[in-house]
Amino acid sequence: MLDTGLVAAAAFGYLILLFAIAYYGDRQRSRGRSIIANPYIYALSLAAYCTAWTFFGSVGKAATSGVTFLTIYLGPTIIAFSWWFGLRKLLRICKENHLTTMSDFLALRYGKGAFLGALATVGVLFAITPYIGLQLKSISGTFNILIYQEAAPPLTMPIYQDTAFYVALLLAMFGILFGARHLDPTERHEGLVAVVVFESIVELLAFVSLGLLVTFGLFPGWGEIFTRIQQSPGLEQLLLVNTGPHNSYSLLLVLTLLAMGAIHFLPRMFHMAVVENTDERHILTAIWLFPLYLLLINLFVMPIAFGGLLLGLPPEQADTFVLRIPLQTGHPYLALLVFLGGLSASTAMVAVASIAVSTMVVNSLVMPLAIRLRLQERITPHLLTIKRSAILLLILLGYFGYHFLFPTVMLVDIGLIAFCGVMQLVPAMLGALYWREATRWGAIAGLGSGFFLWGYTLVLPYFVEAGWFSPTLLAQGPFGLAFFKPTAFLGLTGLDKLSHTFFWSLLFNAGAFVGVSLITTPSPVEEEQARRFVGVFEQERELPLEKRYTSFPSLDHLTHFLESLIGHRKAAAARRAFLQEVAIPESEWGDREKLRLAGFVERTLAGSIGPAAARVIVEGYLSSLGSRMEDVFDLFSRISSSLEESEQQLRRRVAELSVLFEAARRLAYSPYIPDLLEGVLGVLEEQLGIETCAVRLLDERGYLHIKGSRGLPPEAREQVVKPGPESLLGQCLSNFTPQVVALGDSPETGPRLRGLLEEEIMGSLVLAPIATETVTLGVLTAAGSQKGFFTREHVEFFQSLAGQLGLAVRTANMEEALRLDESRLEAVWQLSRMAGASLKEITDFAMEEGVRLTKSKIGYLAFMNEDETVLTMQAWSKTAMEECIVVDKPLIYPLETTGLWGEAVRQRRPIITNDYAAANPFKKGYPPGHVEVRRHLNIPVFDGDHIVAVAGVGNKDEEYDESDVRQLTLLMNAMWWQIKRQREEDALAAEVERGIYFQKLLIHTCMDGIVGNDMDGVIRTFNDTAAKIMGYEPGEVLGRMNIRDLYAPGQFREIEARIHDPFYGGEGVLENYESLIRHQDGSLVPVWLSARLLKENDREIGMIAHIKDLRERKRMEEELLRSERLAILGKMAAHISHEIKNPLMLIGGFARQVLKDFAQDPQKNLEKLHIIVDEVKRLEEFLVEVGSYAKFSEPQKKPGNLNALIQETCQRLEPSLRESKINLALALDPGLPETQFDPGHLRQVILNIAKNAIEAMDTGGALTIATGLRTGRIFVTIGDTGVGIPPEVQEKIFQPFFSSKPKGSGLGLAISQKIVQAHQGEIVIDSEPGKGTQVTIYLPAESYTKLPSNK
Amino acid sequence: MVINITRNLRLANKGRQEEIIMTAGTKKRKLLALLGIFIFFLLNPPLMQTFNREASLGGIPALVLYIHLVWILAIAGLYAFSRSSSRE
Repeated sequence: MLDTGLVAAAAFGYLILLFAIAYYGDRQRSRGRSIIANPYIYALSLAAYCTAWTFFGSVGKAATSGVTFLTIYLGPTIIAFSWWFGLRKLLRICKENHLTTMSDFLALRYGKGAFLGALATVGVLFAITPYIGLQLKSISGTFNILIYQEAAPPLTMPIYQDTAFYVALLLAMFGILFGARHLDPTERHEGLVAVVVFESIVELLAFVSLGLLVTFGLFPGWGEIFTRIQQSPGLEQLLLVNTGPHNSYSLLLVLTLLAMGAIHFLPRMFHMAVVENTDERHILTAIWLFPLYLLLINLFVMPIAFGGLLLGLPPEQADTFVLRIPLQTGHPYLALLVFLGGLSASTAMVAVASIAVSTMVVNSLVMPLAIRLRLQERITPHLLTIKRSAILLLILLGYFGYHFLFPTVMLVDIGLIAFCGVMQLVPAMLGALYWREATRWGAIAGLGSGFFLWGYTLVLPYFVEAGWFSPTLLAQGPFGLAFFKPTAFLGLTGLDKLSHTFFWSLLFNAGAFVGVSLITTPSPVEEEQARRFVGVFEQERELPLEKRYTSFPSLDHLTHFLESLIGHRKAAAARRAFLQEVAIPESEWGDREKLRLAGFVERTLAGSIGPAAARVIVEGYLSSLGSRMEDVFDLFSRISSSLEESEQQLRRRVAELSVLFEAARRLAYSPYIPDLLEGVLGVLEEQLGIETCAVRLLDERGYLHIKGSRGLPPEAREQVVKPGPESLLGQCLSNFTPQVVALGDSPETGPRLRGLLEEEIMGSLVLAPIATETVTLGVLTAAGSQKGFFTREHVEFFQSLAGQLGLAVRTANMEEALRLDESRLEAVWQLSRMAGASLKEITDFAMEEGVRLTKSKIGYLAFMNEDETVLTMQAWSKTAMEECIVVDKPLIYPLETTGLWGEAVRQRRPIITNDYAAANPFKKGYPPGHVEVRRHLNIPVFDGDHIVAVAGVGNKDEEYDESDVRQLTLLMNAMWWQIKRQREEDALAAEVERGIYFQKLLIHTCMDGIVGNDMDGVIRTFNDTAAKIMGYEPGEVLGRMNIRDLYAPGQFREIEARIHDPFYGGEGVLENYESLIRHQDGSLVPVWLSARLLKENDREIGMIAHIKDLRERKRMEEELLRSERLAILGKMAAHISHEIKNPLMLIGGFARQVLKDFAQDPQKNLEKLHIIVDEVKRLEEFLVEVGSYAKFSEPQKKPGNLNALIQETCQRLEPSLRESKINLALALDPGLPETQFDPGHLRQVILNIAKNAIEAMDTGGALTIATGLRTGRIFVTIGDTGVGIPPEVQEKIFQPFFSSKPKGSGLGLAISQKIVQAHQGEIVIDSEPGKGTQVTIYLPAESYTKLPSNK
Repeated sequence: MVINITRNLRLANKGRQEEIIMTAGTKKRKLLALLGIFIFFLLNPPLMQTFNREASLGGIPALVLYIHLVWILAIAGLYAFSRSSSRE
């Protein structure tokens, strides 16, 4: 009995202390100095397991059932063995996903659906609420006992008088203060933990103290107590087990199992063990420390229980022995301590449980409901308030529940009911951790059926007892169905209530869970979560990205979003944490990082509102922004081997691929075939350990040559085989298929093995064709000494390898051909540039190139003669020269004696001899000392049909092939062409030279002087004759003098002018022009020149003139003229004297006669005097003519119309015309231009000619006068039809005093000619005797007179 | 700040813990599991039954003694495991 006030004060003070500790704990945490990040603290925090139940209930149970109570504590000890794996896994998952409650855990794991979480929450609620109630009851009960020594208060006590009520409120406040001060995503409440630990210690202390008191204070020791119990009748069973249904083995088992489940899945335990954990490694301490604590705290349970019994306390009060004993034995303060211990235990439980369960309620009930009703926006700011209300409500619910529902039920039982209730979570939780195929429906089915059966078989009976349902339900089952009796479900009897419930609920639970999970398939989300949960310890593998978000918001957006839900500080912290985790700046984020961010945000929120709600909110937010999750197309989804392939197959495939990869690498390394082959063979040998393998390649004729091998003798390389169709090699080639053959059993010979070597046919053999899509190149063989070395599975691999090789070889061949072509083209180009080289240089170069291109060692070139009978050596390669020691090599080889290398000519095609040593009908041997020939290729070089040369190369390391032939042929052809061209060019050059020489000859031997000058007047051509004429040496003149200097001053300008004038021979031509040139000595030399303008492409480039020295001619002309003149003069004198003589004679004669006969006949004298006068007149006329001829005066030219003149003249002629009966026809060109002439003179001319014409037609005829313009000159034609003028007369007709007429002075035409010439014209006579005469007068047209004359 | 520190610690620990798991060795784990199962077995019939009799040692009933000894054994085993695991 203690003073109420004292007790109250003590209690209150204690609670204040707790508050202080909690506050301190929280403060330290916010400062960063956590006081509970300590493994011992963690381990002791688990002691929340020990509630009032432990304190009071254990003793109660020990007093009634003995040892069985230990099961509740042995269970955790046993399961502690699994904590390092099981609990840690749970821990890891919860920490990674920010899971703070079991319902969240289940919800997240099973598809993030809210229903499961809600179901779990509701079940737990039902299980725990009474439990909370019982704690409250124990507090109030114990309080009362302390004060009144009476336990239960009357039921009718109003609430406000019930201490428990106030305690409830106080605890609610405590819970709120230390569990719901703010929304922490991690839900860690360090203050709370500190309190729990403190309380654990207080509990232990209190219990141990009491225990010590009882065991050693009240009794002499353990042994004594036990012995006395043993001796007490009816109590000895307490020391044994399995003495009845209340402590049967099955019950023990059930209790142990329940404890093993409860230690994890009581909400407060989950919270303390998982949520409040700071470090996984603390578990290592907890696994032994916690069992130790349990051991210690239970050490004195039995002594106390038995002690109480022995002290005579009634067993029904066993719950409160711990108080009653010290009270009764006079240790009130110890009782107070015990009371405080009990208070500790209860408060710890209530606080933690209420916080944990309220979180469950908020996350799994409230939030999902709000989201369903689309109220999440309105709810989230008030989450904290909701949580606090939940705490309060829960505690009050516990209180009321207990108050009204279970006032009579024992502590113990309620505890076990709760245990059994939370046990229903075990299948789903275990499945979540360890079973990938567990599905949501399975969990729901399991949980639903489990909770239902638990409720039905365990809770319902209590309700019935409390009077809520009719007792017939228990007695006869629901609706009279005895089969479904709650306490004997399905007819199972003989079990105590707990075992019965345990059995059925877990059977249905696990059965439904497993069964439904197997039937249903997990959704992708579930699958992913399953993977993440079950495989949480596995290294994070980078799985291929399967999903991505479209239009994902930026980090800032998301941070803002988080802020609105969990506050600014936490959002910022989360943002920092994420950035640190990702370690890539946002600008470089890809789809993977965005996916992670989405998950991260979800998890962060999950800590505050549960994963289901978090998921919905985040997805809602994202979709409101238009961001949607879509599939990522996996490019390699079709390539990757399906997961159905076994691990072994995959391994083998990987190995194969790595070998193929290595082979590919080596094949890519070099373009040379030998290297490629070595590469592949090397891979086979090194990586696969195949010691005998070979590569055979086909040549153009279909023979297989071993080009590379391993494990075969070197002579094998020489083997050349044409595989027949029956042989394995042949089949391989023709079918394109690889084969695996097991040999060695019975000795196989014959066609099948043809071409294969001994080493290859020992055991098993793989043949794979080396081919590209179109062409088979060879065969790859690999041999093993054992029969079964190669199997079918290897075939594919070898096929791949051979295929790779095929491609590589083909590429190498192509590249080789290309390279050779390039080389050759380069050589050809070089040849083409050897324009000035000698024949020897060309052939030497071509020879060396030929040797190089065909990779030979020696080479030679011989030219063929015209009729292809003799070869003449032209060039040898350097090495041929060096190696051959034959002295005095013959250069000439008649074809008949040449051996193999003449065959190319005889057969007119290239000859390849790859084995010179072998017998060959064409060989004729070679002289000793000659360089040894091992391989030989020679080709004929054609020019059209004609062989012009033979080229040969020899001693290539490999065999000669078509490619070599081609290259050499093309090269030699190019060389020949070059030679030919060279020759042609030379011939052309020689011709050109000859031409030039001849030209020079022409010029210099020309009898005329040839002078050529360029546009500037510089003399470029000056032949010898010109030199002779002008008296210069060519050397002085050429390129030095100007043409103007050669001519007399001004002459050249005239020439230049006239040459451009078409009149003098044509445009650019000057013909027959007389000019003067200046002799070297300064004298002027008359020359007669013709000149021509030199044009090139219509451009004047110079002038060339042919010059005739006129001096001689001039002299001769002068002589002739003089003699002519003299002759003429003579003639004239003679003519004049004659002309004068006759009349004079007449005159004289008659005059004398007259004188004589003066007096005689005057008539006769008169006649004679008339005759004398006539004669005198004639003489006068004659003398006038002579005079006019002598005094030829210059014409007075003035412009006039010729036609008019002619017409006028014709008028004068009319009488004469009439007289002679001559018709006059005028054909005067009316368009005749005006011209300048002396009308008098021209009249005279026309008259003269017309008179002549008239005289020629003395028997009549026609006189035609025509005028016109012809070839730039005006002509006047006077034609007659007279007797004509004989040619010999025509020559002399213009001579003075020449006449064909008896009368006449013979001067007429001479004068006419003179006149016309003075007009710069000419007279032309055209006559045919008997036909007529046409006299044409040409006069220059006006245009001429325009030219400046510098005369 | 605390969050970060503990998170960093946790992250760092995770790494270490991977090692611990790895190096904890399947053998050790198997031993532990074996011991656990053994203990469970010990606390069930028939072994329980053998001690379930009216005998006592120094006054303490055989059963009680047995159970407690097994309990201590379990704790010892757990302690040993914990020690060796955390030492690595």
